[in-house]
Amino acid sequence: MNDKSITRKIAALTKKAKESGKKANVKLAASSSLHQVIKTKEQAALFMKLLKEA
Amino acid sequence: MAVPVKIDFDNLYEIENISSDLKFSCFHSTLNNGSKVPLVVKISNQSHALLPNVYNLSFGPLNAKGKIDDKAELTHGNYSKVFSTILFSALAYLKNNPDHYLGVDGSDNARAYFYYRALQRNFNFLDRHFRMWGIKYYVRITRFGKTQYDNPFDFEDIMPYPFRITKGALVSQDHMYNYFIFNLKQKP
Repeated sequence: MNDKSITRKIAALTKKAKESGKKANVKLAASSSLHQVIKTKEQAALFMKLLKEA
Repeated sequence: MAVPVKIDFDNLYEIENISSDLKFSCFHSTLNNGSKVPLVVKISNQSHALLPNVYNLSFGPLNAKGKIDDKAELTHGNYSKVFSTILFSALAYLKNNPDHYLGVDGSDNARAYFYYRALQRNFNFLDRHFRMWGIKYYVRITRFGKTQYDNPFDFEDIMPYPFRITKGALVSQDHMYNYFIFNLKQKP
């Protein structure tokens, strides 16, 4: 599948989403294991630094 | 789930229900027994206060309480189509939120290993669209020495360490990543 075709499909799905007007009622942030192990600002900053450098 | 998965954005289930911010989408997978089950892809509404732009993605059938059951054991008729649709939903979300990262929990070692093998099998395709990392959690050892400590590990002091996933990199099931993160490779 070429990139133009993917772009078209994404545009169609985005249009469908915008027109749906539905709100997602999703609260999952605290439930992930990553969010549970990162507990301080310093730890989070170091992790993001490592992520961007990896 | 020892089935080979081929990710192909030409092989998708129709996303029947989607929220305006693309954080909730739903499609029906056909199971081996011919029945259809709704599968939901959810992206967390808020990033963690300490990790701006990292959002959790989960998927699976909903349980009786309306929550995703990520431990459900379903026998899908077409795993390639299921995972292609999930990843396409993620790609559409990232195209609309190019500075965001999406994270997926391994849930357990077997499932994380399955994800990793599928990722490696489809690396060339996925690498065109995503940057991908595997995260391992390391626990601090409090003391080394001749004295045998009852509990030398501090499980409150855990360091998550990201590794960029590269083609063909072997990771054994016992040392599998705890968490996976991906974001958009080419920002619009």
